[in-house]
Amino acid sequence: MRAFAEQHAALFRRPWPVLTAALLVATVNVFLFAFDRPWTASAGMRNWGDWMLAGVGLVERPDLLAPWLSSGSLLNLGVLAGGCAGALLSAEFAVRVAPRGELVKGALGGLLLGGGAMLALGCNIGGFLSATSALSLAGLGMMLGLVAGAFLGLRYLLWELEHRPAWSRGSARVLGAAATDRPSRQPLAGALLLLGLLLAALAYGRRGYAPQGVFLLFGVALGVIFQRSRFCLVRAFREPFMTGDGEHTRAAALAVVVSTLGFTILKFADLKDRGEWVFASAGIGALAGGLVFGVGMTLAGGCGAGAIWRAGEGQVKLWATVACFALGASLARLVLVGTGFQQRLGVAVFLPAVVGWSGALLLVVVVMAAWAAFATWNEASRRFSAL
Amino acid sequence: MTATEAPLTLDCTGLVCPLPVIKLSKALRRATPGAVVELLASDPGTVADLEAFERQTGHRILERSAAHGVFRFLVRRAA
Repeated sequence: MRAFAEQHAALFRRPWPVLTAALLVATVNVFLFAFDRPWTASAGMRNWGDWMLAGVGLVERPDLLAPWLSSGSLLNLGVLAGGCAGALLSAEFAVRVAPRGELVKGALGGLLLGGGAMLALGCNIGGFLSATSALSLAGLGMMLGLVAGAFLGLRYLLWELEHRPAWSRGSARVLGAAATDRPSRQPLAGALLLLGLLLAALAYGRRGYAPQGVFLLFGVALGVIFQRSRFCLVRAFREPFMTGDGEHTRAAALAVVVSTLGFTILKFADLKDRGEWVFASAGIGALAGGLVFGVGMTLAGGCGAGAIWRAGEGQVKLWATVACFALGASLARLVLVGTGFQQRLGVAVFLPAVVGWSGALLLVVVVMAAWAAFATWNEASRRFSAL
Repeated sequence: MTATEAPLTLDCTGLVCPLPVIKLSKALRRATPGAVVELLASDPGTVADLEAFERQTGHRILERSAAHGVFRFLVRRAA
């Protein structure tokens, strides 16, 4: 029994190692691509936003797939439920009410996440992690934008704390937290939630929608991994400019490399179409989209993944972010299509078509190694850290 | 005064990462070397954030506890 108690503690009492989480996220992303399509949050967000806009009569979308059938929406629902289950299982769930200033930043950040994701044709997950893994030039373009956006977002937060301290005043209530003086019922609720999700996936299968059930479970796995490790892509981009800690940057770089190796094998062996996830946003779309998204994720304190799983663990600020991310994505797409700018976001560049398979792989590995090396050098020298 | 009494408390409950760490850094900068600041936060991410902050800056976490979803830290400014 003691051995099991130790394993239980490692899973639900202590945070999972960040590098382990990065490897798991990359592996799940490769499995997901092998199964059907890579991971992204923005497709599901736009589905939710389109439903909101259609609900109030702003757009007519008779072709719109229901949220309980759209693969992107189910992935997001899974991440939300997985974040909630991970928090419950470790008795960390609580509704953390947000002060007004935080709600405003959460909402504004969400709108920027939606707008940025539509410009780059994907959020930091779909447009950066998955696109880079798919050997699309746009993924590396978005990365540049994300670095600049995270830097600008952080500079803004530092300015705000100095000149508008009232906008980030704390003191808020925490509801439903686990008691510390007696055993909590949260782990039981978490186990029941996981069981319910498993039954939901089986119910999808029985009704002839097995893929939908699988998408839901993929999302749950990702939500649990992120919640238990707190592996954070916002930190990967922001932290070198803040405390200088490089742990999450190195983990993110590793995740991209492992995911890229998997995607490349699938494409090289013709198990997947080579053009998949190579979007026509290499150009202004990826750069500007990354910049806008980078500012948004720093203000909100969560990205395409983090906003959703943190909403699941009860952070009210991120509830505002998720709602506005969805709305922002739908509105931005309407504007981009309406103005014709959608056609001018950039070009679709499949790197192996330009520099060959080995050249493309080498490029991604070198860029990620350089990113990790920069973070490690800066960790010691603190040349770029503000704190 | 003992090390565990803090003259300054930063209530960062309801604030999401990275605000608690930035506010703490700002308060420590204004404090005298060796001074202790108490930080209250509700974002569970603050725990790992503060550990990274301690590693990077040399300010020391003297005490930490959690009750009813609120994390409490006592942090001493580096000399």
